[in-house]
This record gives sequence, structure tokens and C-alpha cells, in this order.
Amino acid sequence: MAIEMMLPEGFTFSQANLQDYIDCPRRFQLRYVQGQQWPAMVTEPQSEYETFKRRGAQFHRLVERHQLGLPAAEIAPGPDDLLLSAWWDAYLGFEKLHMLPGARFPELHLSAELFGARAMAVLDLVVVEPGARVTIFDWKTHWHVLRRDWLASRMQTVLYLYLAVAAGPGMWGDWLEPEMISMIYWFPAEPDSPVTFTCSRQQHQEHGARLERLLQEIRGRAAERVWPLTAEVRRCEHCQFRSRCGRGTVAGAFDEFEGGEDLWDAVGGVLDFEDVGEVGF
Amino acid sequence: MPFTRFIEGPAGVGKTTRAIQHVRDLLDAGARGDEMLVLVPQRALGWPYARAFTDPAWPSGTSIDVVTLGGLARRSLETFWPLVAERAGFAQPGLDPLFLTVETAQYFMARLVLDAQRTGVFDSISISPFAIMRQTLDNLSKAAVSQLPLDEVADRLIAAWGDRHSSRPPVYRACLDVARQFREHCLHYSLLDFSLQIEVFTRTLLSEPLYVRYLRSHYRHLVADNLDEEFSAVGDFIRWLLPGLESALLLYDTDGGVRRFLGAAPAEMRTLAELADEREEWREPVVAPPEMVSFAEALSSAIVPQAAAPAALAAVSLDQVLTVHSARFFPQMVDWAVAGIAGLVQAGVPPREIVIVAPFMSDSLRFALTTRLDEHGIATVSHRPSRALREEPQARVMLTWMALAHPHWGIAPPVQDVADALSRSIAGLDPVRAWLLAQIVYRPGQPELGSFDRIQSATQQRITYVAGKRYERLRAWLDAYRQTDSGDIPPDHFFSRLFGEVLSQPDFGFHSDAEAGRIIAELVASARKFRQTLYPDGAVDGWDDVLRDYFTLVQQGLLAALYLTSWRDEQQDAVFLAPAYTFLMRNRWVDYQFWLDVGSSTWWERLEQPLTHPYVLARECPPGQVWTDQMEVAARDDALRRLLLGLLRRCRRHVYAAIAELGEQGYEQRGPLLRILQQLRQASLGTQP
Repeated sequence: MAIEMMLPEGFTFSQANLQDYIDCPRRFQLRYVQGQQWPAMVTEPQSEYETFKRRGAQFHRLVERHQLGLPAAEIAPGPDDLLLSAWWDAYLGFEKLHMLPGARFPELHLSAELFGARAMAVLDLVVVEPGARVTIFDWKTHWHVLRRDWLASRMQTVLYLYLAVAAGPGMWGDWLEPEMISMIYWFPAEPDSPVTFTCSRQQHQEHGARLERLLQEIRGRAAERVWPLTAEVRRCEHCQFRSRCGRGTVAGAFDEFEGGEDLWDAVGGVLDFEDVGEVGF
Repeated sequence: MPFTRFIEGPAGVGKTTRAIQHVRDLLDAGARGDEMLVLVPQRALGWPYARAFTDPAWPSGTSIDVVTLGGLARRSLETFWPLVAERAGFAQPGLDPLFLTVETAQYFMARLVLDAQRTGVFDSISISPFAIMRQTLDNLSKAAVSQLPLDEVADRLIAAWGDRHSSRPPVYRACLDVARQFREHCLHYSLLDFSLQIEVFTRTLLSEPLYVRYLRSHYRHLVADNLDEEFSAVGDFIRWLLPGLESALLLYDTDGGVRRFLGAAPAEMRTLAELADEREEWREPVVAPPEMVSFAEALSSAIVPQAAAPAALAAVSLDQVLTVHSARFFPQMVDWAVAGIAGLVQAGVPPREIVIVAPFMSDSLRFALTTRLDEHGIATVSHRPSRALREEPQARVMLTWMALAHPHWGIAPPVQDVADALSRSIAGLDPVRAWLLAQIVYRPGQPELGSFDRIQSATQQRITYVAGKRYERLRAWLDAYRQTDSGDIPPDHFFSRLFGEVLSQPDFGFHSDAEAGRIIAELVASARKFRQTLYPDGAVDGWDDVLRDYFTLVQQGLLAALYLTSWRDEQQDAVFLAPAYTFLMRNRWVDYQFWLDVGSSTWWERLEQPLTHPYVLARECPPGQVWTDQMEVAARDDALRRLLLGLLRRCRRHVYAAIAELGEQGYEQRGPLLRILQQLRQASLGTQP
């Protein structure tokens, strides 16, 4: 059976589900192909993880509000969360961003064809200077700067840069060349240490080739009953399916959890209808 | 003004397909995806758009918003909250908004309703606290979607009652008092239920200049589908939005409006046609065959003669599209339907081309159909809205262990529940051995479960040592929790840990049980929402009271499962089982429909809702209107007509109508639908050569 027949209708590849596949094909199979829900702990203490996620979401919201034109004084966080306040101050002092000319698109959703499938990216902020450049910003609310080589290997970097080139000209004009696109990971906890990735025609082709191989590999597994489990058993400590695979009992420690933020959109994989309210009775 | 086109036509003439093509044309002409707003009344009605937009062949670009008005309101309020919080009357504007679902709204409502009920104010009507909560929320929602003040809701309900029995007006007032208390609570803590989302969005945010600039510069094109199912507030929003747009495509389903009981205002929405530059009426069905169309029209005119021109069945033999079967007893009717479906599947019909509908789908009917079809190897998928969490066996297992993990609550589950929990939790422990084990190790009132090691050897052998060892692992986990974590973690963490560390481990009952995973995920999500809604900042001295409150609410049946059908469910090659209205809101077309319990009068009856009223709370109903019996009959006839037309227009080949002379409860059944079908059959026979 073709993989498209096994995945839910409307399934869209994203950096999170592609990263899931790279980390562990079996996790991808359980989560997206079989749609299994497995409500085990991902990390402990869970309360710290939740605080981390909540604060990260609040920071993203603050920046979105500011970029949409709400006055900074009216949206500043309260004094009860010192860390969030510090991040906010760091953001207000992020001159490279504030001085950058161009139209601003916070929380932009890009969607494009990806080698016979559909892929999407949710970009925290895109600044477009017509005829000159497109800068993608991604807020990383981790407690430390993530290594450049680690970020370079992540699907987020590969897919976002690839989709910006693939979908960009249709949105912003034919002037857009890969060399005009850059992506900046910015860490409010370490505001002076952004990690920047630029793009080029050759890099775009390499990204494309990598994504194409990945999709071919996923498609090639359609007939397999059990997809391979990761060889890095350490990863299972922070995987909700560890009991399903017989690979451990207790969730791993939060301070050893590398991918925290990525889990935000890890579950689902289809167009998000979470915000489509209904009157239920 | 934008170029506005209004297309009207019955279901199945291709309106949505046209709208998708319209969006595609706009994209091809250079519009951007995020400049378009696709407005639908309910998430399932947005699926055709979402499917098209995620097709690999769809043009690349920014995503297109497919939302309900509630979804748009929520998203906008989340982002622009600082602009409106104070103006809208929220006591702590610095507090970010917390959006309540129907379920989470009940956490707050439950206390208010139980307090009110203790005063005896609801004693004059027979109604559960759960129903009071739902209908109070319903009144708030109807006020919001019809843009009525809350006081007017009480006035309209009382006026509609007329001079009938006088005990009802105080009950309405009590219900509205609860609603007001709930609203005050929401305003104090920045909580927004559906009604408050709509009110703050329409009354405050839409008059905020920064937001208005944003919205008007953001959206240039509008597609509004299934307007017949929309609320008055949506009509107001479209009228407000239109002047700033470049184009608008408005779609209206003739004879739709089946969501009137939720507040839909089909007649009012149809007046949007007056704003259109072009009006088109589409009549030619692309889905249903002509025979089905004739049947639908004949049925319509038999129910409400003035609603459609009397249709003759001369051109068509009813037998081509309808089979009616009468059984004496309910189980025989189920047998007939199952046999019919098995025959169709055997003949090569894909199960997903078959739907079974009934006015209500009771648990016992659902169970009978599911198990009987399963015996034939036919998969089923079922939508179970508002099913209490405690009804799920896997959830009951978790609640039993929760009670035993907190012995100081003094809640002793019955031995039967403990035996059931043991049997489901421990792989290889059958119900007989589980019962034996439970009787030995569990003594209601004793704080801990007994050890397997202390059981007599002969009994140990009967239970088996393998099962005993597994039981000891479970017992050790509960002991360890009691000693180190009891009351220190919130309820969702308790369930997650118990599931992940024990019950889903190898040798335990949920290890490879995807259904258990799904249900316990719902339980965890429900408990998490409960905790995050009531204690958003986690500021509690300990979690014990929260754990116990949650346990009590679930045990009382006050919390419903969150069960959300997904595309995955919908696309399964499985027979779909659903209440008739639920099926219509899926907007799916199938080859074969099985209508069950056709003799039941519930096809014609309105949902019993003594505290609210969909018709008198509609904006189009004049204030002070007395709701007469004639009006009620006419409303029921109209609702039945719309329901049946909706069903038939979504059927490509054949309808099988099954009658049980004695209903599920054993009473003889002669409901209006049965009479109408018999009447049509007579007419059809009379016209045959």
C-alpha cells in the first residue's frame, strides 16, 4: 500500500514529523501512520516541562502582538515572571530585528508541494524587503544556545529554507533567489548569540535532494509491519511510546531533553483545526 | 463594495466544489492564500476545503484560513487581547484569556448548578445537573449568536410559556441567574466560553481601530459556505466585512438549516443574497440519482405540502430507491440491517459507502450493531458526542486505581470494579481469576491491597504465578505512589504515570491496546484541561483536593469524553454509525443508508430541553411571542422535512428503512415518519401500471 493511503487524508509533512522519522521511524509509524495516542510521560518533572512550554508560548505571543503593531508598553509581561520579563527586554533590545526594513509577517504559515506530498512550515516571523531579501526568524526559548551543527542537521532548518525558496516567489515575487533568504535562530536567553543560516542555489538543491531521499525512504516502508526502532536507545527516555516498544519505564529527565520545543507541533500532522470552535451540546 | 456572488441550491449540486475552484482561480490570478477567509459553520464542513488545500497539486504559498466564526474570534482575541480586555469588562486585564470548551466550562458551572439545585429551585422539573449545565450554557450561546441581551433570554422564554403551568418561569429565572453568576466568574478570571468569545469579538474587538485595520488589510476575499447553518452573528459579521473585500462568494443550501436547534438562522442568512451582484440558483444534482430526487421531493411535499410542489412518483418506482422492512422486535430489526449490510459488503460495496442512522444512537444499539457487524468482519466507526468518560471501561480502570491509590479519601470501589480493573490491567488474567484475586486481596475499607505472597499456595496456582507476579508489580507501584507522591502530582500526571510506567508496559493489559491508549489519552487531556483551567498558574498547596474533585466529577458523570472524530476516522473503510443529525453535519455522500427505528416518534421530536428554546431565542422570532402547539407541530414538521431531504440528497443509491413494531423500550411505535413512508408507498403502488 502506498504511504499516502496509510497516512490520514490531508496529512502534511512538517519539520516535527520529519524529525520524528529521522529520530525513530517506529515513532513516526505509531504516531502518524497508525495514529496511536499513547499518553505516557515524555519527561520528568512534567511541571518544569509545562512551565518551559507555557513561557515559550507566552514569548511567541508577545512578539507576535508587537510585530502586529500593539504598543510595547501595553503588552509587556507582568513582573511575576522574571525570566519572561528578561526575555522581553532582550527582544526590545534586538536592534538587528527592529532596524531591519521590510514588511513583517508574524506567524506565517507556508505550504507547498514536496516531491508528491504536501509540506508546511510555521514561521515565527518573516521580514520581506522586496527585491532585496527575506529573513526568517525563529525564537528558540531554550535555556541555552543550541549548537550550530545540531541546528544545521535539524529538519526545521532544512525544510524552512527549502519551503521559503519553493513557495516564496509565488508570494513575494519573481525577484526572490535562494541567496536572498536567511534564517536566524534567536535565543532570548542568549540574545547576543544568534545562529544564522544563509541559503544558496546549491544548498537549496542539497536540501531538496535530502528531503526527496527522506520521502522516498518513508514511502518505501509502506509495506513494513514494524518500522525500525531507533538505534539510539537513549532517545527512548524522552519518547511517549517507550512502554509500547518495551524500552523503559520512567520518563527521562527534563534537563537532558534536547528537543523540547519541537514537541509543540509533534502530535497531529494534519491541518490544525484546534482553533475551529464549535457550539457543542 | 466587492463583487459578491450568492449561489443557492440543494445539497449535492456542486456548490462547495465550485467554491474550491473559485479559491484556486483567485490564487492563479495572483491572490495570496492568507488573504482569503473561508468561513464555515462547523469544523467538519471545512474538511472538503482542507482536503483540497493539502493536496500536493494545490498551488504553493501561504495557508488559507478555514474557520468558524468562533475559531476566528478565539484566534483574534488571543492575539489582540490587550486591546479589549479592560473595555470588555474583565476585572484583571493583565491576565491572559483562557478559552473554555463546553467541557471545561462545566467545571465552573458544576459548582454553581449544584449550589442552585440544593436550594430546590429546579425541583419543579425533572432534570439532571448535567442537563442544567448544558442548557444554561446553551442559553448563553444562543444569546450571543442571536446578539440578544441575557435579560431578553429570560423574558422570551417566559413569554413563550404563555399561561401554561406557572412553575416554569421561576425555573427559567433560576437558570439565567446561574448564567449570570457564571458570566461574572468568567469576567473576573479572564475566562471565555463560546458565548463570551462571540460577544467580546463582535461588540468590542470589531470596533477596535487597530484590529479593524489588521483584519481589513489581511482578508481580501471571502468564501462563506453552508450559510443556511450559520448564526445571526455570522450574518452581521459578513455584512460588516463585505465593504472592505475584493470578492465574496456566499453559498446557501436550500432546505438546509438543520442546526436550528443550535441557533442557526437559515431564513435570516438567506437575506444576504440581497447584497449580491449576482445570484445563481443551482438545481441540477450531481450526486443523487433522479429517482432519489423524486423520492425526496415527494417526501417533502408529504410532510409540508406548501414547502414543495406536490411531486408525483409516477415516473419512478419507489422500490428502486427505498426498501422498507418491518420487524416485530428491536433485535430483529438490528438483525435485518446487519444482514443487509453484510450482503452489500459481500457484493463488493466498500463499508465506507454505508451509513446507519437513527434519531438517537443509544449505547445498547451501538453495541449491538458494532458487535454484530464485527462478527461479519465489517468494521464500524461511530461518533459518540457527549459520552460520559466513566462509561468507558478503560477509564473506569484508571479511576478504580486512582481511588485505591488515595485510601484517605475513604472511597472504596465495589469488589466487582476492582476485579474488572485487575482483569483489564494484567495480561493473561481472565475475569474468573481476577474475581478470585480481588475477593482475596481487596477488602473495602482497608487502605491497601493484600499481597499475592500471602495467598494460599493452591489458590496462587489457580490464579497463576505469572499473573501474581504482575499483580505484585502493580501493587508495588501503588504502594510507592502512596508513600512518596500521593497528592503531590495533578490528576493528569497520575494517569500518565500509571499508564506509562505500569499498565502499558509489557505483560500488562494496555501494552498493545491502541483503543485503551486513545481513551486514556482523552482522560489525561480532560484531567489536564480541568487542572489548567481551574488552576492555570499551578498555585495550589497540594494536588490532593484537585485529584479528588476531578475523580468526583467523573464519577458523577459530569465530564464527557472529548472524543473528536478526525479525518482518520472518517476515511476508514468502515460503516459509519451516527445519529441522523450528526451524519448530516459530516456532509458526506454515501451509496447506501440504513435508517433504523423508523417507527419511532423521536424522528419528529425535538431534543428535550426544558430550560431553553431554539425557536423563541432566534432573532427572527418577535419578543413576547407565545409558543403555541401549532407552532411546535409546524416546527417539528419542518425539521423532519429538512432532515430527510438532507439525508436523501446525500444518498447515491438506496435507502433501507427498518421498523421495529415494538421499540427498544418495548412500546408499540407508529411515529410520523412511518406513516409518511406508508403513505408514499401506497401512492407509488397506485401509480404503477
